[in-house]
Amino acid sequence: MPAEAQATAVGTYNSLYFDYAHHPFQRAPELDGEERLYPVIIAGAGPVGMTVALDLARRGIEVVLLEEDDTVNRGSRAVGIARRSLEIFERAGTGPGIFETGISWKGGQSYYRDSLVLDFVVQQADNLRHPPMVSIAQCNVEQYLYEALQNHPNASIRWSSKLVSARQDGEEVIASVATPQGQYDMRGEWLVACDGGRSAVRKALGKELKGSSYEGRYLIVDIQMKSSQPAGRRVWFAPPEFPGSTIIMHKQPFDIWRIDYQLGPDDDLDEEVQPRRVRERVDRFLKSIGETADWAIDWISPYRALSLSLDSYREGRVLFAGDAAHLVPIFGARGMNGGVDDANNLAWKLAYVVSGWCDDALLDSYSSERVDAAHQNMAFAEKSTRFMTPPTFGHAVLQEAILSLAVKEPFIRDLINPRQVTELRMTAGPLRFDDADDIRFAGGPLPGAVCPNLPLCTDGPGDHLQGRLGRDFTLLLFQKTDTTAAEEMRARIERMNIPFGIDVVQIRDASLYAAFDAQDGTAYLVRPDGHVAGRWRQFNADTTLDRLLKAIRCKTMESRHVD
Amino acid sequence: MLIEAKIPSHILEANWESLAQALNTVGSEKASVFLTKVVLMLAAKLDRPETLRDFLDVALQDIEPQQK
Repeated sequence: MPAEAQATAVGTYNSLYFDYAHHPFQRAPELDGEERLYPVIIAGAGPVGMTVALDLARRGIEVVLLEEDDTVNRGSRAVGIARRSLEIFERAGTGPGIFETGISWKGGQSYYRDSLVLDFVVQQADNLRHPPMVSIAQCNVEQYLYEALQNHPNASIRWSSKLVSARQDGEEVIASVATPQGQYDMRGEWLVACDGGRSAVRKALGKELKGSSYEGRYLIVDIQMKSSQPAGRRVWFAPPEFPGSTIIMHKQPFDIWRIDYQLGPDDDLDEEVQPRRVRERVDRFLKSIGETADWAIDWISPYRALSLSLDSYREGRVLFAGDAAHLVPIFGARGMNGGVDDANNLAWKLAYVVSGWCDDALLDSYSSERVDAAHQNMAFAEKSTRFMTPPTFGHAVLQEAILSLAVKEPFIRDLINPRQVTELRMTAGPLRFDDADDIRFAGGPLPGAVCPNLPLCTDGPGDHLQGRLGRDFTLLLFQKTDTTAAEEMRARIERMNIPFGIDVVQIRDASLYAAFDAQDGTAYLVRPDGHVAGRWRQFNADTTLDRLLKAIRCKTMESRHVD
Repeated sequence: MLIEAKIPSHILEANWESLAQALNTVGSEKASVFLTKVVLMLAAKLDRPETLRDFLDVALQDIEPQQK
């Protein structure tokens, strides 16, 4: 499964809370000598691969997913879903199920020995539709994505079909696929590698992840237990029952609790993953926090922090996303969430290229924007990792010094903060328009930032801005009085014969005027992935849209005709 | 030379003694953690964050690093 790299399930697995549907293998036409060129092949039907597929399918692009397993992933794996991922999933078409099933949380507590040393809340505007985080098992998330894919006849999953190798010649990509009924070659215009930390595509293309790995090891244990312990992220550093260790606990739906505990340098991993040994440790921990409920083990997995990335996420006609492109330490929940962000950045660009609307150079911006994001994510996650599993003598001394000082001295507590995942602003790139006009804004989302999903008060309760964003680009035109401005803008855009949509949404809502520091005439141009491309006090459609078309390498009507 | 101010002897001596007593109380195993706590608090009182790095550079001089 795609998210395999850092955590491996031990032994056979029968979930206590998830009913796995095993999809029968269906013989591929290529096994009988039939072949054709598919627009997009995706290796790996994990959360990243399925999000790419869903977004491509809703944009009318045919996709085939290749999945080694015959079901969604086994075990809970990535359980922390960030607000941004919830927005992306819902926009891609999952509906609100992931949000509604998950356990919402916005902060947590850290303890040093017996003392509370941190009570934190993830900062965000209090009127956004989603909380900063929800906890829900990855198998549930994948099931929602799979069900959403069933609405798209142009998307299919080939189960029990493992991409084992790939090669390309500039015109197309050939994927070699191993199945229970033999191996076959499959041709695609594009291949998206979402096949996890041990990506076969990456190996076949001779690309290497670069970065650091950490020695500290954790054991991840899911237990089922009816308990009234609070939700959120709770951490015990050096608890009296486990001196020298760190234990993390998160509530998940279906009475499942995630307990991560740090193993000592001398602990024998083969011994520690045995259910008997796990039971003993977890029992001792639960008793130490006053928990008396019965419980059962659902899943056990060892974990070691890795912080690695490819230098580039594009290699000709192959694009890398998620764990195949980067491995980020678990602390702060940037792994799967970063991969979902990759999917969101990639899908529209790939759709525009496959549709013949844009030159394939647009895909280079996917690589540059997401490599930069991975480095931002890795920098945050490495700070957390250095605290959670100190890699050197010096870091271990600092961890103990900070924790013991934090009992009485609040000034130092910020260093204990887990630096939970937050949405990232694109720091540079050709698709960010930082005009001189931008300095005239005293607030509002900056170019490169995510357009906040704020409520629209004037349009009835429950309606949020994201629901107004178009599938392609959206021009948010702030205009309270002039009823013709939006119509005129639409007509103007219409005359430009742009192959994709630029929806013009007129905003009158006073609270949005405030949140975007808008005046009448202000405009924000929002990209298909929900990031702000640019903003202007007075929008000039002719010059700005011409720049946009050049920046996204949009082909002119003439060159498209020649193509 | 980093510290140019003339510190009166009685203050130097008092700091010397109280540090020695505190180190005796904490013992050799936790001495580094203890001193780090002290440094973190002193650093929080500094006007310039770079000052700590200057102090560290001076303190790293003329001390034999542990053989790895």
